[in-house]
Amino acid sequence: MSAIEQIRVPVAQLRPDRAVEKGISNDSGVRHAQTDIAGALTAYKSSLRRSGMLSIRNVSKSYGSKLILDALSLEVPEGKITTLLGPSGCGKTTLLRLIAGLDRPQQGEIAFNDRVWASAERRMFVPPQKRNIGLVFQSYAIWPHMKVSDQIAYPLRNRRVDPAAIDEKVDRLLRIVGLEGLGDRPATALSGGQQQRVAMARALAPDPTLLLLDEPFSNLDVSLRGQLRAEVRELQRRLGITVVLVTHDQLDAFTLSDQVALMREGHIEQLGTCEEIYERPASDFVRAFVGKSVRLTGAIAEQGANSWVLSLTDSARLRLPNALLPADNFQGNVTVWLRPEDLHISRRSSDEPTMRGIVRDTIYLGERYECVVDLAIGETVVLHTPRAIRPRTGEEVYVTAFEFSAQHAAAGERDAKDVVLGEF
Amino acid sequence: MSTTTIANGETDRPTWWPNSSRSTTLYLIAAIAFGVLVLVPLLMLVKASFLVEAGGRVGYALAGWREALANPGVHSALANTFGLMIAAQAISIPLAILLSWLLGRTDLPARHWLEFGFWVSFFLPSLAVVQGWVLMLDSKFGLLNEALRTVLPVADGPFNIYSWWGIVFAHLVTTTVSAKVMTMTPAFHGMDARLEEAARMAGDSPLKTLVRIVVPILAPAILVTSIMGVIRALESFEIELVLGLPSGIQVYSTFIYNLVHKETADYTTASALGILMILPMLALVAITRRLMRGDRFTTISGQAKSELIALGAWRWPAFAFVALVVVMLTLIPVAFLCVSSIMSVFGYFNLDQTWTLDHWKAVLQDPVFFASARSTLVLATATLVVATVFSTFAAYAIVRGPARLRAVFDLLSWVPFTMPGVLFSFAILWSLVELGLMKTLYGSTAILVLVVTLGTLTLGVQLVRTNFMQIGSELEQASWISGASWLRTVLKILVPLSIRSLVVVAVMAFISAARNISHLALLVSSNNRPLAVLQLDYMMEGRYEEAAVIGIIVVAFTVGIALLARQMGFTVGPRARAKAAVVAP
Repeated sequence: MSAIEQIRVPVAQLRPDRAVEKGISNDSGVRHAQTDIAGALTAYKSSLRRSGMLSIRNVSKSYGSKLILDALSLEVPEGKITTLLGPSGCGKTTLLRLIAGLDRPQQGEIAFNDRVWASAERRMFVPPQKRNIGLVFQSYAIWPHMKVSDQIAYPLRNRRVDPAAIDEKVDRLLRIVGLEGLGDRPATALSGGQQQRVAMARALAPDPTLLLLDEPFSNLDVSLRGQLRAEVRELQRRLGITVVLVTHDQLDAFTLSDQVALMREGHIEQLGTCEEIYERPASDFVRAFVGKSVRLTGAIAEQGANSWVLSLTDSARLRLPNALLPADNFQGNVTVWLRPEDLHISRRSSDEPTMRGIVRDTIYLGERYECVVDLAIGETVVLHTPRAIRPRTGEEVYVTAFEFSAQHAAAGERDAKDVVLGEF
Repeated sequence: MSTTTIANGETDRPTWWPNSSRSTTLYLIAAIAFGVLVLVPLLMLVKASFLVEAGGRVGYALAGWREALANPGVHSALANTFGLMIAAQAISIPLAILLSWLLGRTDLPARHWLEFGFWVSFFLPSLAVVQGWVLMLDSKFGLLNEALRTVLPVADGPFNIYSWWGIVFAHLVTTTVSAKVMTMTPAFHGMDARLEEAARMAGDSPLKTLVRIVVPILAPAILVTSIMGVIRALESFEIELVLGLPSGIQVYSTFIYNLVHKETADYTTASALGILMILPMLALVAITRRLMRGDRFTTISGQAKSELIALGAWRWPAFAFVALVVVMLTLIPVAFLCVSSIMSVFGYFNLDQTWTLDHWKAVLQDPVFFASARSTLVLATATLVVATVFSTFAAYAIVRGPARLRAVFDLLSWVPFTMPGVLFSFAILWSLVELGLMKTLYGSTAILVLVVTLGTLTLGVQLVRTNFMQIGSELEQASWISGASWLRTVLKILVPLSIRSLVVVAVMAFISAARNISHLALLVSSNNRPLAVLQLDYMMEGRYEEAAVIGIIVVAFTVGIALLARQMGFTVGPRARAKAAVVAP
């Protein structure tokens, strides 16, 4: 048994006490048995660190004349969740398929822990069977002719794991994903959420070095999504496995990811933590993608100790924190991007700078209202109001930015370097 | 090498892996092999049609074609072929529509049993059915004729099955009607009933609704069924051989058979006539492909099943009508086949010893019978395996192969369909001659397996393909990711998910091989003669009683396997909504 093969044996089989039995029964001499124990222990230790780092270097892929991935490079760190986020058609699923080995790159290289999985230049390719990965498909790809337990046992049987060890492992996985006692059910008799768990258990069964998730929550209802997100996060932390997640859902990405790669038209527009992506978008595209922003341009009207006033017209003005000031005594127009949560409305005008507008529509979202306001200056802004305040359609309102005093200090810490400001 | 290393030559190991350049190469090799297999007989046929033999020297010229086109025998054979086909279709299409509607849409009593009767009829070997009806309708000793002559003042007849209309009748009672009813009843049954109900609300009578609403809605299904019926009619051989001989009626298939069996075989004319037949077949295949490709079959929806139409006072008369048809297709021919097998001389009821088991004894003690029974069993079993495996892989290549090769596989799978029965037999025979394989393969079971497999291939592939297309490719990919090889994925995921189609293909191949005559006609020698051909030979020799014994045994073979499959839960009966299985040769 080579070291690599031993690592692939499920953890249940690698407990040192079992390895002892195994060593003695397999070999005639005592000395052999002892070296085998040592080998098994080494293997056991390596199995604890079985995850690894994925490198994607300069990968291109096109279907026909359509370029899907354009010389894309990405490092996926070990033991973390990396999310490929982007609108449909940005190439995120294609990239996942290349990582899984379901497609081959036309240019570039994909390597895992310094082992080349696919290289167009060197004409090398490791088929998916030999990558030891887990993949949860968007459709779950549950085999309709198999029982739940057979689905989970399938990858283990392919690896010729000992039947007793398979049973033990299947039971453990059923417990982990919360499907205890459902092993004998036909998989098609399960609900969507349960099928998702079966797909997850099946993907985890062979102790994969890398787990790939393709829009795993998109077919679930809202409450279940939240619950399963938390479970996936918990599971990943416990197993310390490297995960690549594909989603178009910002909430999926932000609640799960250690690192987000925001993709656009076959390349990575921005790579960073959730906070970096949201607070410091690298481009207008990222800003637009990760939240509803409004873009306002005007001149600096006055400047105080903590805040300054942006003047859009004579009657439309906004007070903004100094952190968003490009430079003292800056001359010329300033463009500010504001998100819904930065804006507030009141029914009365005040001495403070405001922008007048008419409520176009109010949408009840449960915990708050989303309110669309047509500003007198012609722009339209989206903002949130608490449930206690329900603006009526057609009502005249006054919009301010940031609630000074409370929000002020926090906002002031942000550093703004560019003329384009206000990434909140 | 830099920091990156290749692990243990993983990539060097030969892995059958879709999407790799290696797999593309394999697909290409498979496509070429497939192409050679189905196109060589066709090309050899074309080559043979230009063959000219003069003074012991062989050359190629248009002379053969000129002679063939001037041959009055060719003219009358073509006229008979199309005349008989049109007559049989003109009667069977409206009849089958009426029967399918009664079975699928109305409250006809015992409709499930009656529908099953049509399935049984479909599985009955044509020759056995024809022989049963000969006993009723022979102009001299036919029982029905004898009965009628007691009241009618005629010396002969009034019916004569050895005639043009006799042949049409034989087509109707063999599979022409039953195949159509089998395909169309599920379509009628599954039809979205809302449109029909709307017409009934508007005050149309049930029959008017059938003609004005139901038939137009199901027109594509009816059209495909009809075209398949035409193709099957052009495959026909044994009916014309048996019934056409006394009256000198020849169709193209018997004409080719006779040309090849003449003392100086005329291959050139046979090939030219064959090619003349392939041309209309190509057109029909093109139309069928077009019709089967689209979503036109989606008139069948799981929703809006309405109440069945109440026939009211017509319920029992309608039952009597359908039951009479079923009895004519199944019970009458089989019963009279049985009767004839235990009569001393077929048709003579006033002999000293009318009834005897001598024929059974004679047949069952004959080593020829045992050799043939063995041939049938080997042929049918081998065809079952080869045709199922072949159909599975060809269908896989059509559904999942490299994009550019899919259409190639699909087109190639239709080629055998353009060469009906005897013509195929002739094309293979000629290919053996041309390729110098006569000594090795003529008279072998392998060549029979090949020809029957190719004969059932088109429908087998279409059936499996339809099923594979419903299986999402992610189900396969999930298996690959789980570490299963390509072959293991096919066996563990695709095959179990398509098991019903595969069993239908297997049963179809087995039955087709067990009762086939036309595909085998020119390739059979005494070494490999199966029971169905033995029955034909006995009939041609006038040994009707022994032929009847063998006919009953072939019936037992084919209906037996169909019932066995049904028993195993793989419904090869009215509940199996398998449109392609219906048109098996």
